[in-house]
Amino acid sequence: MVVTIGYYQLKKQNARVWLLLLASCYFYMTFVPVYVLILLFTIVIDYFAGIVISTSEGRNRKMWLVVSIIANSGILVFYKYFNFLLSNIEPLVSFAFPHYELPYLNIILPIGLSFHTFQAMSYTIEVYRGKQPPERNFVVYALYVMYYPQLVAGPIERPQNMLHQFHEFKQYDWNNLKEGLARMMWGFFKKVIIADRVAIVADHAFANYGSMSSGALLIGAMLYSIQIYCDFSGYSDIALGSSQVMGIRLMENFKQPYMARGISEFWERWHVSLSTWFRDYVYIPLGGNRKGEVRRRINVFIVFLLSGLWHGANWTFIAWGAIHGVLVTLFPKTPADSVKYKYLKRALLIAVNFILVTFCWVFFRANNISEAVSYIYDILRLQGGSSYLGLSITEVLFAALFTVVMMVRENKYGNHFISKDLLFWVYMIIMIAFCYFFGVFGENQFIYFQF
Amino acid sequence: MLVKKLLAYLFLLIGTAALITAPAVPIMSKIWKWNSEHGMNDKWYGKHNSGWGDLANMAFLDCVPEFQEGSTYDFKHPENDSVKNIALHLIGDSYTELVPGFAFAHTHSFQYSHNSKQFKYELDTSKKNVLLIEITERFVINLMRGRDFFDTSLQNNSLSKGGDGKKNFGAIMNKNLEYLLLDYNLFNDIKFAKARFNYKVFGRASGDVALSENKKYLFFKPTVSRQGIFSSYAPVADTQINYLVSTLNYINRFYKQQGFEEVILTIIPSPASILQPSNYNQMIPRLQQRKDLELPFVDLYSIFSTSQQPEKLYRVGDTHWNNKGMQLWLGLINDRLRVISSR
Repeated sequence: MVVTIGYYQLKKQNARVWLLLLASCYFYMTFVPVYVLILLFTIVIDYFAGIVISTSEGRNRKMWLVVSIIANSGILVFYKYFNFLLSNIEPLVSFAFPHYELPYLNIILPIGLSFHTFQAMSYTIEVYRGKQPPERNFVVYALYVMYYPQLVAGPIERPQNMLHQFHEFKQYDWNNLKEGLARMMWGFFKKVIIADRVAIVADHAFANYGSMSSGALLIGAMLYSIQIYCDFSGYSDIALGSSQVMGIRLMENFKQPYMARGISEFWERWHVSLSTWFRDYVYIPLGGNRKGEVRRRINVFIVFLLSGLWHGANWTFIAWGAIHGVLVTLFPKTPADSVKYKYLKRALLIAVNFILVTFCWVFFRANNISEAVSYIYDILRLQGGSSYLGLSITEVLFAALFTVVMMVRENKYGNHFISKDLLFWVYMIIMIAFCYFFGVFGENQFIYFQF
Repeated sequence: MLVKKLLAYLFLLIGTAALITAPAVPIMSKIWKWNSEHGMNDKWYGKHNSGWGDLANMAFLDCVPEFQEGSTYDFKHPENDSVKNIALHLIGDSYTELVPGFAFAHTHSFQYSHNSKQFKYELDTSKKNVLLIEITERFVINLMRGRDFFDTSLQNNSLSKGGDGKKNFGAIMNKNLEYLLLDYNLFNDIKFAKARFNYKVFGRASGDVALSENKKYLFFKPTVSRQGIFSSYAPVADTQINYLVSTLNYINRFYKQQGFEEVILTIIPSPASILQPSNYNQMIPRLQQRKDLELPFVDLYSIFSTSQQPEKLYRVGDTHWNNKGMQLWLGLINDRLRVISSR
């Protein structure tokens, strides 16, 4: 609110950009202040790389692109994957050199690292491809990487969508403000009313799967599916809304993914900014579908494997990506709606796909592969056990009711704009009161902040 | 138009002030201290503090009569206490910070040092110097992570200097912002209504507070979580027990070399370990049963866990014991001090 008010009080775009950059630095530095230097390092490299790439030719261009990619991915690998790599080679090393201690790093992962490095890389790649002129204003470029609404959990933006918006002086628009605020409120609703409430059930199930009944475990897994959607898309709504209040539009990241009728369609609807990033910068350069069906399937699998690895340095994420890779290569097409039994077939496909995605999420949520396998095995073997879900049945039903409300609302009334002012204020007051009174607070950070 | 503009500047001013103040930890500490020392918490703009216990307070469940239990501790001079030949040094925490020196048997002089601060001591060579280390169960693993904590020869003795500060900076910011913007008694009725609703309809507490399975007690949530070093339910590996034993032995030897006649260890069981023991990780009994533990261990756990009425040992809305729990502990400590005194 402070930034938005300040933003509209400033009458020069240059000053607004500075304000947004300072606010972004502040936001980022509330985590580990010194980590802002990591961002500064990549920003400086990519800024100059962009200018050099656009003004040079031949090998020099390519070299600077490589420098930029190595700088970004190097930081990503160092902070995110270094310890993971060491832990995987440790058995070999300790076998060969029993007394050698591997140099594990005692560091905290910078918040949103995977997001902003991917966004930074998309800039130099687009400049290299000639689809984006280099940004010569350093502050604007720094803001492109650090823009606080989407800095820590996306959407992973493209320079074509963002940079020009930072040069435009946005006039105060009450309708924009209303729509942005309403969207933020919707994001808060999904986060505090649904995600953080069902998280209690999911956490309980994953902590006690050995002693819980199969039915309770299935509910726990399904509610984790709901949690991760409401958590991540809730954050995206807040990010899009808080940006929209300043007139800056971010790309849509979710298109009701659990309404997908097949796994391929799911990926057209889930975390769109990441899927399209991998499509544009990995899948197509690998050859896409231009080199035959077998190669296409291999390319798809590689993309999903990398997507899994992008999420975290753990075999669970790699397994999650690999399973999705296999499923998408096996079932590339979304089944068509039939004329007869249209709604029934559609509902069935949606339900089957949701269950399939839920089983994949078990790998995403579990602490290790054996935990994920045991969890799924305990569901499938129809074991008895505790049916306590970590919450009272009343509260689980309450969460289920609001999940249905959320899905119907997003499916039927996706728009957040309320034209009548009175209605808007009533909506906002009710939502604020509702979120406060029924919200679950202080328990969970946004899941995707860790990536 | 003018009103809108004024409102905008007002929000800007308040918001900027809060955003600048919240990350400044020393300033925030001063604000907290000042508010508390000057009785600000009793006013409408003060911070909620009912006195019914830290957990009830945190969860705003002090509005529910079941969780309203005050704290009155009754300290008496021990019997047959004429010989005063012990200089007692106590490293403790909030469980023991109120206990006065006169409550300890045969104690000529008494010095209390909170375990979050550097332990500074002076030996009284004319008396028997005894070091009593009291640790709350949930802090055992955390405190024993570094030997330097109890070791005065090393400088970094304060927990607050540990590496966790950086990790929690975001959480500190959130807490400070909440304190500056929302923590006012003015809003208590809404918070009470929400807490009461959650308790009555959903059967749970909120935030860092958990209700016991029988809904009668409040627990500090990290102590009943399945993970984390504060938990009574998170598995404790044998290697961790080994490490604790070796650390405690090190501490014992170190202070004996410094001139202490005896180092006594006492661990106060978390309420969850006693009141809801089905998933207890058995850390205290496992530690006590170790034959290679070189320092005397005052066995409060056995007394508490076999009590006919364990629910009468802790305050219902608090992480701490009540007067009865504390008296049982004092009795055990005084028994040990009598043995030392008569040697």
